[in-house]
Amino acid sequence: MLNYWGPQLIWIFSSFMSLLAITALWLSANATGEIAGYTKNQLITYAIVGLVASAIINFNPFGSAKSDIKTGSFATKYMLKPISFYFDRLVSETTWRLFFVVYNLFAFILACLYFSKYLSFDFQASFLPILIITIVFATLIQFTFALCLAMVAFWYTEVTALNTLRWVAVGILGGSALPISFIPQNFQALVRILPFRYMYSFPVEIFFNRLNMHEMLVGLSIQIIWLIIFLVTYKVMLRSGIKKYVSVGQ
Amino acid sequence: MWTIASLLWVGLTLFTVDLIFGHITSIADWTKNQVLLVVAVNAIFTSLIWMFIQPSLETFMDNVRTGTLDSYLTKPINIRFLASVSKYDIDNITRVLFLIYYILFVIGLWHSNLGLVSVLSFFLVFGMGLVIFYNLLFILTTTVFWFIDLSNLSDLMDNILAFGKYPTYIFQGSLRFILFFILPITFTATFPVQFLIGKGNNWIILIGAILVIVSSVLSQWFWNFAIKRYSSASS
Repeated sequence: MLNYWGPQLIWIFSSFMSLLAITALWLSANATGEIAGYTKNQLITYAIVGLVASAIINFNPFGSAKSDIKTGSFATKYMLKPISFYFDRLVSETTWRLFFVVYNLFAFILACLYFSKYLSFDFQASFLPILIITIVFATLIQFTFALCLAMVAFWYTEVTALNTLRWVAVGILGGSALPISFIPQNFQALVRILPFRYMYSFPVEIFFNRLNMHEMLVGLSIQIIWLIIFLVTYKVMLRSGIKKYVSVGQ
Repeated sequence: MWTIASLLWVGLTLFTVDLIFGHITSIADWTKNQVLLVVAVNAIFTSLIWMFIQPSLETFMDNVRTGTLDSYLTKPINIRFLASVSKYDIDNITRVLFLIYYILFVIGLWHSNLGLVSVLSFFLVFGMGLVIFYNLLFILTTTVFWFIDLSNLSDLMDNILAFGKYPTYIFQGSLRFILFFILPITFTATFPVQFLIGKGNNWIILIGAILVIVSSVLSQWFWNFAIKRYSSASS
């Protein structure tokens, strides 16, 4: 029993520990009034909600996809069989994500109990359907974008930095490290056009009731546009990559 | 390519602090430059752990899990020493060099009359932190004799070290006491930087020396207790 509970306890404990640090950070911040449009309690709640949000939304098929291409197993798994690479990776990643959601749910519940006096959000239950839709789209956009980056492995040997760049972009421009309201006002228009906000921050903003219905519908439309762009890019890169692809030893 | 990825992560951390300070004046009365120093020193500390301590301990865990620790036990060398120094990974050297340059840049901008005593005290306390944390990490690693599979122990280590990313004065009450004296994260960056900015106390050095001795004795005792649980799979 201890053999398998060890790593699981570490995952849950690690998630909770990160919240302790973030909570302490915001409580000790000296500011007059709100911080980037959020109260301290809202910022703490943002981090707690992020536990579950990141577990659900942050699909990361990059590593396995890149590995399949580099090792040559892409040929035997997908080129010789009637299996869609996209849907195979999507199902695989969804299964893996379910574990993360369960682990992070434990940490989330623990955090809600421990930090209950700081919890502050104004979620409207009537927005639940649109919230679910935006979460699904955010997940698919992250997933497809990550696959597009992995496709670069058809042309270049080492592409790990591209995935790191993705995480950095989602962290700063997508709101997973800090709410996007921390970004200077001059860059807000750019942030609202780029896809990163729609990979994470957009559903979270709906949860925190920061958007009216018009803004939600505009954001949803932009999500659909970016998803289509990434799907087309993925298809084009896959077809071009397969033409060039050489599998050795399979 | 890993160098670029590593530098991007450091850039994210430093830029995040910059964004936060666009909306606040201080964190636990530490100014922006002081917090940036703590972040950078903590990142160097973490990088040194990744380069010189973590690879050996992960190899040791694999050997215990697969039952191949015999290769250590049959050698006429102290097993703990071998388990601690068998492997290095210098991938993060560029990140360390960049961070050193960044620290010198920040200090140059803001605290140009740095004294020799401050610098020596910084290195002394930083070194104490490395020894204390090596001992604590070794104790954690040794639990592999019971848990067998601790493949994500590096995640726990990273999360523990992340507690020291910001000045540990942000924590209050019992948690501050724990982070100062029980799980002394404060020695990874906050205390060393205090000496660098001229706010260090000599009692920190005394406490550090005591923690070095206590952690060393504790880790050695726990190692002697744990090694008896090992059973080989290959002989």
